This record gives sequence, C-alpha cells and structure tokens, in this order.
Amino acid sequence: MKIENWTGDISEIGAIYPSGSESALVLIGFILWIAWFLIQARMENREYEEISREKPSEAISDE
Amino acid sequence: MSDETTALTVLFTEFYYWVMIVLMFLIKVGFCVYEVAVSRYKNRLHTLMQVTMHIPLVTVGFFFFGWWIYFAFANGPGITGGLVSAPWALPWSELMAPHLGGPPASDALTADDTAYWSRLNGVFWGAFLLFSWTVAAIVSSATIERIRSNAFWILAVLIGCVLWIIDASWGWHPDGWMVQKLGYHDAYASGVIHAIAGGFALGVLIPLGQRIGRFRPDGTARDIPPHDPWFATVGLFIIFTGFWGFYAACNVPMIDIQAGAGVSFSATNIYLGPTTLSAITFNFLLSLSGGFLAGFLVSRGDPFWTYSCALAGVISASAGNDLYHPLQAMLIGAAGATIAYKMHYWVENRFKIDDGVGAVAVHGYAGCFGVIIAGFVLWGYPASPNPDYAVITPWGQIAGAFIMFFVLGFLPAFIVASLMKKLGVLRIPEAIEIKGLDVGQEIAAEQAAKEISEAERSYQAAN
Repeated sequence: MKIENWTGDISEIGAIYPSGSESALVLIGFILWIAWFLIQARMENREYEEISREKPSEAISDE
Repeated sequence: MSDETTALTVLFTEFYYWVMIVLMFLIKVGFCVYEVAVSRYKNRLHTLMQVTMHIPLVTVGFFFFGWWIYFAFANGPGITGGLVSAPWALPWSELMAPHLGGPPASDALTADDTAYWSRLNGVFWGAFLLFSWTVAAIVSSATIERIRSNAFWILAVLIGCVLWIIDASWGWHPDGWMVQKLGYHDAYASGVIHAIAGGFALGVLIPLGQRIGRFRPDGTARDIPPHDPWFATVGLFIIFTGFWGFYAACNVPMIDIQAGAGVSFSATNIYLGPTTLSAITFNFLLSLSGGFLAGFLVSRGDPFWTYSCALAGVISASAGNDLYHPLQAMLIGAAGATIAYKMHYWVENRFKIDDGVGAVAVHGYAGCFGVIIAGFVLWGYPASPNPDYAVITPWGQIAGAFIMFFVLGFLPAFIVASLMKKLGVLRIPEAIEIKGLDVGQEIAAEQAAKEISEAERSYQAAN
C-alpha cells in the first residue's frame, strides 16, 4: 500500500511508507546483518595473515 | 489525536526524546575522542573503527530484537509471569516505521495504543538504543589494543542488544520483576547500564589477557600513557555533556501522576514516580563535583583520573539521584570515586587485569556501589508508584547489584569470551600487537606517498 494524496480524514491514515513487505524486509535485513559479520571476519583474518608475513623492518614503530 | 491536551502532551514528549537522542550522541563523540587519545599512536585508527562500527551493528540488532526484549521480558519470563505481548516492538510491525496512528495496527492493539506508539515508538526506541551504544562503548574502552574487531562487535551486540536490555526489562521497566519483588530502584542506571557494562568488561578482560609488556617480570604494572592526554580529557568532558541527555532521557517529561480523582502533571523518573528536572540538575552537578574533588585528591591531580573520578561520582549517585539531597549526592559521588580509584589499582596489582582505561572500576565498581548505597539512603522509599510493589531496601539493592554486575554482566561475557579464546578468534596475533594495529594502513599510506612522489618526478623529467 502507498499514500496517493493527503486529502480526506487524516485520522484514518496509518502507515505512511510503502507497506506490505515488512516481513520480507526483516528477513533480508537480518541475513545481510549476519553476512556482514562473516565477510568482515574473513577480511580481518586475511589482513592479519598478510601483515604477519611482512618483514619486521616494514613495521611502523610507535612514535 | 483529536483532543488538544493529549496531542500537546504526546507531541511534546516526542520532541523531548528526540532532543535527548541528539544530546546523547555526544556520548559517542566523547568515547571516540577519548578511546583514540588513550590508545597508542600505532593503534589509533583501528581503535577509532572499533568504537565506531559497533554503532550500526548494535543499531540493526536493536531494531530486530533488542526493543522487543525490553517489553517482553519484564516478568523474567518465568518469575512473575510469562512473556509479555509487545506487538508495537516487533520488527515487522507497522509501528516500527513511519506511521500516523489511524486504525488499530494489529488485532492486539487498540486505536489509542496505535495512536500513542505511532508517535513515540521511534523516539523511545532511539533513546534506548543510545543507552545500548553506551554500554558497548564502555566495554570497547576496556579492551582496546588487543581484541579482534570481529570478536568485540559480536560481544557488543551481545551486551547492547540482549543482556543490558534484559536487565532494563527486569530493573528499569515500571513493572519489571526486580522492581516488583526486590524494590529495585536505579533511576539513572548505576546498575542497569554501568554495573553490567563493568562486569561484562571484566568477564572479557580475564580471557583476553594483558597487553604485551603491561606487567614487569616482578608482577608490578607498567603504565601505558595515552598518546594524547589532553584529548583523553576532552573526550571525557564531551561524555559529561552527553550525560545531560542521558539523565533527561531517563525521565518521562510530562504525565498525569495523580492517583485516583484529580489531575497533576509532572515529570517522572523511569518508574513513573514523580521527580523534576531541577532535581536531577542539582544532583548531577553535585555528584559530578564530589567525584572531581575526591578524584583530584586520591590521584594527586592526575588529569585522566580526576576526570574519570568525576564520571564515577555521577555514576555512584545515579541510582538515587531522583530523590537524594544534593549534598548526599556529592558525598556519595566522592565516596564512589574514591572506591573506584582504589579498587582499580588493587585489582590490577592483585589479579593482573589490564583494563585500558579503568572502565571496570569507573562503571562497574562505582555502579555497584551506587546501587547498594541507594538501598541504605532511600531505605523504605517506594521503588515505584505502584503501592503493591516492594519498597527500597539494602538487601533488594545488593541483590540487584549482584544480578547486574555478575549474573547479566560478568558471567555471560566470561563464558562467551572464553569460548572465543578457545576458537582462537578473541585476540589479535602477537606480531600485529607489536607492529601496531594500524600497520596495514601505515604501509599503504607510505607506498601511496612514495608512488605519487615518483609520479611527480617523472612528470617533471618529461616536461
């Protein structure tokens, strides 16, 4: 459902977003939220492996 | 909202919480400044990302299930009843989105419920979410410079979207079982936010271990000074500013509090018991002052600890700052700050706990002290306006502090962090810790600078 105009009885208006797909949006959002953690974990592991292989001389010391 | 008084009350309440959310954003700004300043130069960018990225992760989780837990778990469940129905807080509810009221949003809601939640659901959700960010940021500050980002963000979701909101449902909800049965009173969250965050941080710190070099071979602690002490205190000052929003967001701004016949509008605390904004203005400032004054003396003028003790002072008085006399708030603030400072160094030396900023002490020990002392100072006061609920007692508050710090804070954190340690996903590799967490960005920046200089030289040579 969507809003087509603001005329008529305002007190009868409920949701003002394009409604009807809330459950699907929650499912998609939840999957993406979990996926973000998994992708980030892989990125972080890969980054640590790559840096650990660098020569010690390439390390940046504390200033 | 056809009735003008109702419309005015609801729209004012909506605006009030919206402003408090904006003010509370300053707590996050303060945490970012503070944690980056406290970390060493080689870790500063990583620390910034650690304390930043839990914001969206906790926000999304709090939308999916955190807000629903607050209403659904008030009875335990299983202590004073079952799960409580909260259809407006389910993530697929129309009321978790832009809405004007209109007809009932579901079979379980009346038209009045729908009109009320259509205006207030978003701002209430936002205010509680900002509390969630604060709880998670406290844990972040304790664990800086050696926890894996992924591990921290999972732990942030655990405390920010599950554990703290369970304790809020039990001890902050006007009908929470701790309020009903224990007379638990914690108006500005000494326990509900600070004790649980401190207990949780301690539960993570034990399996996480100390930073390399933090303790000498003889077991005494080495100091790891902030890379920018001035900005560490600026960050704390910004947190104090955001704390005004935190305090005001724990109140309901305008509601009819007269039981029975008649009408009397007032601000209330979170339990719907009467208080005023003047009360919390007096008591916030006097407890802050008590913490500052005591902190300066016990730390011998150390800027970082003087500011931290001011925070501990406010946290110590927060449980009863709706009802204390301002000078009681000052004395409690001074005592809590002293306890936090002394306990921090005693625990550090005795158990070799490396808490990067003293978060366990400032939030955990001061928070527990604040909950318990309220039981003595306010002994016999009503914990809530409901005359059938228990009154405030020392034993109710001691039980409350134990539930907040240990049952919902320390224990789950210790179990989950120990499991992460066993799986090898809790702590960064030693080589990274020594090189610094920003080493990847530093190398990339050096290579980029080198490449652009070579490109400039080539351009000059060609022209």
